[in-house]
Amino acid sequence: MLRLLRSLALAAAAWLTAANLAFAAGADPPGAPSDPGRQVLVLLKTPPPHLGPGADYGSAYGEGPARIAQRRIASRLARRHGLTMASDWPLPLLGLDCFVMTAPPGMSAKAAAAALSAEPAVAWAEPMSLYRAQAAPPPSQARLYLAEPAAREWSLAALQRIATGRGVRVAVIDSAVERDHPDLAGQVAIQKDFVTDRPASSEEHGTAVAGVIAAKGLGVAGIAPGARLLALRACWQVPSKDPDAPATYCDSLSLAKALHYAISARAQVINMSLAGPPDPLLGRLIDLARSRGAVVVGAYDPALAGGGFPANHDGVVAVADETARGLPRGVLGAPGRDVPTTEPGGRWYLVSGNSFAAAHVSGLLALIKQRAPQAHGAAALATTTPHGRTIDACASLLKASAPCDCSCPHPGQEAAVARR
Amino acid sequence: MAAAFCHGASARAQAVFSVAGDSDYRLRGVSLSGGRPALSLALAYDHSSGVYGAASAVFADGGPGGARLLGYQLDLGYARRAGRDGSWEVGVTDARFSDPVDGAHDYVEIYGGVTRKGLSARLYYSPDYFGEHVSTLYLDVGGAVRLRRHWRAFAHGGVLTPISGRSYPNSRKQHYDLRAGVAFDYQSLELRLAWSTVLPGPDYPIGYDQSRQAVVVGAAIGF
Repeated sequence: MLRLLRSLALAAAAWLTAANLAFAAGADPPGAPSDPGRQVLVLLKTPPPHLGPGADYGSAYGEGPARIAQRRIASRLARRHGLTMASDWPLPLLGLDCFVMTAPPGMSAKAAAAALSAEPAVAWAEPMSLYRAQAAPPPSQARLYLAEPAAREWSLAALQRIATGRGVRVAVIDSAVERDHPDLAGQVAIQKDFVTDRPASSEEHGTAVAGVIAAKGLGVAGIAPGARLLALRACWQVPSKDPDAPATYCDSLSLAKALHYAISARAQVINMSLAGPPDPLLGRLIDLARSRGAVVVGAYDPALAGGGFPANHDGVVAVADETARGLPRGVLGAPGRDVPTTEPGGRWYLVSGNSFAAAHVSGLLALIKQRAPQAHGAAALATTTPHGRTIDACASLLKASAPCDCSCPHPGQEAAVARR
Repeated sequence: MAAAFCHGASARAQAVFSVAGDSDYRLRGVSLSGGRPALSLALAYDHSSGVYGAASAVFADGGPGGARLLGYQLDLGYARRAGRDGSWEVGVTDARFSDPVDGAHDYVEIYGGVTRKGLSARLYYSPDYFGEHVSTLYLDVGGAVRLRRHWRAFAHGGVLTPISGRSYPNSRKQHYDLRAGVAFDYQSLELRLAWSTVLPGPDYPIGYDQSRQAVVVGAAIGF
């Protein structure tokens, strides 16, 4: 019996070594950026968890024989279509396992996804897409001034007498947030990194968006300083021609991981200051988040069809800088120009772009959620005129707070606003 | 020691062939292998309709006589996702185990259970548990939590309650079993370390000389 066990162990070890080499062969070398243009997400439906051999050992979701079967199916599909396995990720909220495969040179991800989608074992396959944060190059430091747009246009001090977003969970799906920035220390409840192959402790876009939403007021006042941030890194910063304006990218898989986590962590507001092509997997996750009461906020991108995804996805609150002209129906305007906010390194600077307009709205929704946890989507927001596009922050908050012994001051004015 | 193999899938089903072994084969806290290592072979099948089935056989180290067939088990069930992060299932198990003293023990159990976010609860009913002319209810509650990327902790508690039938010698009204441990997985390899115990003692259903508690070491690997 012992000989039998020893032989089995040796055979298993030999197989494992071979399997590891085969698995790793398709992966990108460490540190090298992967090419999303050749990567495909392959979604396999997983059976519900149930009793089975080995169930006595407390298998969690995505464990055990079912997981092994899924991997074998994915490996076989990859071989059949000439692709290589790169990684995988369970998505239990959707009942799916997501496998990342890389198409060989000469084969487009779109063609590979179409071929794999025709496989009966595949729920669907889609090309990995790239998403870009919606930040404009910063203005020169000479134009820096301390007044925040929200302080003037949204009467921020008055808003915060009604609500501060206390305890509302806001997921910031973005690049790395500087958690120990003086204006963000203690504001980040959870920090997760879903881009582990590109490590970074803090990056500009995520830190700036987090500051707009929830800065404590040491240097700048966030819209909802009482909110609890879930800093979910799904994007990464890369240098660009303008050293003051690094580009920030995300891909379908990293966004799916972060969205899945945000839903599991019961985020009430999900900020996605980014845009890219429509994506079925991300769309299903956003639908799931909304069905669980979360509000998803997306930044509008005028350069993409329909304003880009996720802003053009049904139910997502699409937001753009309120000074932009010709905003289409369904896109709401919020402060997004010359916004002082937090910068990595414990500093502050000015930012502009639809990303930060979206962050303003996420902060406002956190205030609204504190007063009215059931408030949902764009319907919770009021505009300055009946058919206007510019958000009236105070009217939105009062709508959620009614009945309330409080009032909206005119922009620029301080007004007595008492708690109910 | 444990291992797992699998086959592919058709449009509507997937099948997994597995081999599993442990330093001690304990069922509900009671060692059926007399504290000796055991090796299990299993074939599990999942249809997209929710119907699932499994067949498994266990071989135990029989000492000087070599390995012997300890028993087999057949499972047939139906599982569905339900609500948020949950699922439910119903099924039936047909098992046959043997020991050198008493010979064969056959029994059938029907069960129903629910799972949610890594937690599970199942209730089993057997009209003749281990062929001892005693009908039983067994409540099984378990859970697992991922500690780190490759590590998870698991725990299980169960209570076996005779509800009718003859009084078994030395048996108690209820038997409780507990198990807790950690598992390490890498791709399809899994290593496990668990502590298992049964209260008030392992005097039911099989009368082996054995310890009330044990540390069980196992491993799993996929092919």
